[in-house]
Amino acid sequence: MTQNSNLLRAIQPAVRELKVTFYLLNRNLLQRISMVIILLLILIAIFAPVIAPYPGHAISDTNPKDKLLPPSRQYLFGTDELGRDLFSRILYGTRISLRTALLAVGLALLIGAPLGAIAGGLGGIADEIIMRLTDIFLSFPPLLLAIAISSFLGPSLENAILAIAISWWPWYTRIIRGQAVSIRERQFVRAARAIGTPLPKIIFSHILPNTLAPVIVQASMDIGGVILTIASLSFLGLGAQPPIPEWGLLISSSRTYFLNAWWYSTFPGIAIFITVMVFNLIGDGIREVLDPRTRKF
Amino acid sequence: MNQPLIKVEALKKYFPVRSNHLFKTQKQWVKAVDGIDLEIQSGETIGLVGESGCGKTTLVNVLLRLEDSTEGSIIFDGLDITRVSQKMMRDKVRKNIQIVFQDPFWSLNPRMLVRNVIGEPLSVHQKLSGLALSEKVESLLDMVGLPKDSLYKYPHEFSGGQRQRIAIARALALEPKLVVLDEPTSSIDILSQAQILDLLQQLKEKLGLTYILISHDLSVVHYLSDRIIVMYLGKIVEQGPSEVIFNQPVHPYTQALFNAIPSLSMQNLSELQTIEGNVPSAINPPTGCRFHTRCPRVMPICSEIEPKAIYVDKDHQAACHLLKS
Repeated sequence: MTQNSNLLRAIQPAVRELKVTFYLLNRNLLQRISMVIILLLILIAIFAPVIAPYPGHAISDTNPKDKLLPPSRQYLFGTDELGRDLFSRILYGTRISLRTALLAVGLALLIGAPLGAIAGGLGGIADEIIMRLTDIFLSFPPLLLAIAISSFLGPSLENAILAIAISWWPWYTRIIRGQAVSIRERQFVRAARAIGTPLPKIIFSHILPNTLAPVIVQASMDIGGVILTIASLSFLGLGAQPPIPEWGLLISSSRTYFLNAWWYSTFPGIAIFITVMVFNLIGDGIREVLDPRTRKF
Repeated sequence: MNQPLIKVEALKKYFPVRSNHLFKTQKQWVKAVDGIDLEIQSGETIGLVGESGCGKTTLVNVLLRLEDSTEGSIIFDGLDITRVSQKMMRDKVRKNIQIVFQDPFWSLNPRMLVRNVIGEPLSVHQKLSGLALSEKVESLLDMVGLPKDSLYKYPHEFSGGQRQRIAIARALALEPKLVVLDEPTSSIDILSQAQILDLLQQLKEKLGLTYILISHDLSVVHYLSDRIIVMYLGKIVEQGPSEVIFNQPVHPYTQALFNAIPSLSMQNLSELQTIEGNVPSAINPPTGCRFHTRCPRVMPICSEIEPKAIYVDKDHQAACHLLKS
């Protein structure tokens, strides 16, 4: 019985956390809609092979006899120049966009957040070195830097992710560093120093967790931006390579047929638009969830 | 007298400030703590009083080695803690000197469960974890009068008084010898204040603690302290047993400080005797006696020669020229 109740007590906070998150995101109509759409996008990404009417079309199958057909009951969003079903390809594209965006933002956070906490938490020379490094990165326009890095690494989806992470991390470092500098002076950090907590533990368990709220908000809004950047890189031929059904790449290959096949560029465009928008909208909601002081229970 | 628990000698802490003129950078010093001597016996409660900016907080920071001192020594348990390495500090000293901060809303990490807040010193120094840690924290919660189910709550779920209890439990987790109380009751409501003071008094008797109590609230100091130290601009102006300082203060500054306490029986505010002006800048403190710019009984000698601390009574000292004549 004690074993059981201890286990229960241990997971109690996590359960409550989930409930609160759901409740807070559910209060505002726009956020509720965004949350539903994001859940839908995630479901689509997971179940793309099941939902897609022509899973084969998403990868390499071709079907030249049905090329460039307008939307119909058989092909919901029409077909492309090789007769592939656009609906299926866009569903698979959800999978690619979400995964690459999460990976890129996650990687950027993984690089940027600890560096920011170290810079702000330590101060002095470490701070100076790290912040001048971010200045160097931030002095390039981000898309240009990503283009340069991915053309240097060679065009592929993986390299595009890497390129975006490399051009993106300094933003997170900056936000976290600014937070960390003010949190370092808080009394609970002084209390930890008085206790004798080792410096790495102070930085990573006292300072870093308290800097994350604004950066997670930023990151969740950035997911939209990163999806857009990946699409841009693919559009320029530096990201996903054919026959991967990446949204930017779809638009890129639709250019030739723009005048007589409106559906070819429109539907991938709408997909990008909706996804980017809902991620931007959800950002505000996440900020409230992350701050224990604003949630009042 | 037996060996004091902590002995401070000629302690100084100066902070550099740069004033940039057009062509030259001038380096000046804020003399936050400027030559302090004091001894604290084991089991005593020392009340440290003085206006804001008189160096109380800096003194505490230096005592806890949160900041390095500029000059002087602090002997704690036979060890000069202004000189030892941070590692030595962590291994030998930190667990014996702990602090309760003024504002319980900022002294507890808002993202940590109470279990980990109170458990932090235990996991750092005694390497406790898991069930052993939870059990120890539960007994500490019990000691400060909080329910056991507080373990898996966040600090923001508690009231100010309860949060201060959490901070006290954290400070006492390692059974320290010396606890610094940095205005422990100034940011909580009046009823909780009384309870916290009671709790502190009980814990002191139970665990044989030594307190350094910093407070603006002189009635709090009077209630808890055995000895009172009055500071002004980085120096001690008067120290002695609590009753004596309260009833027969000899330094004009101490007198002024006690006259400025509003009491319930007063009819209007004009009965309050306050001292004019503010504390002068610690960058260029007044020459001679530092209090002479505001002292109601200033004499010519005061602006020239700095008064030395002299014994008024067996353990009652004050630094004022009035005492010589």
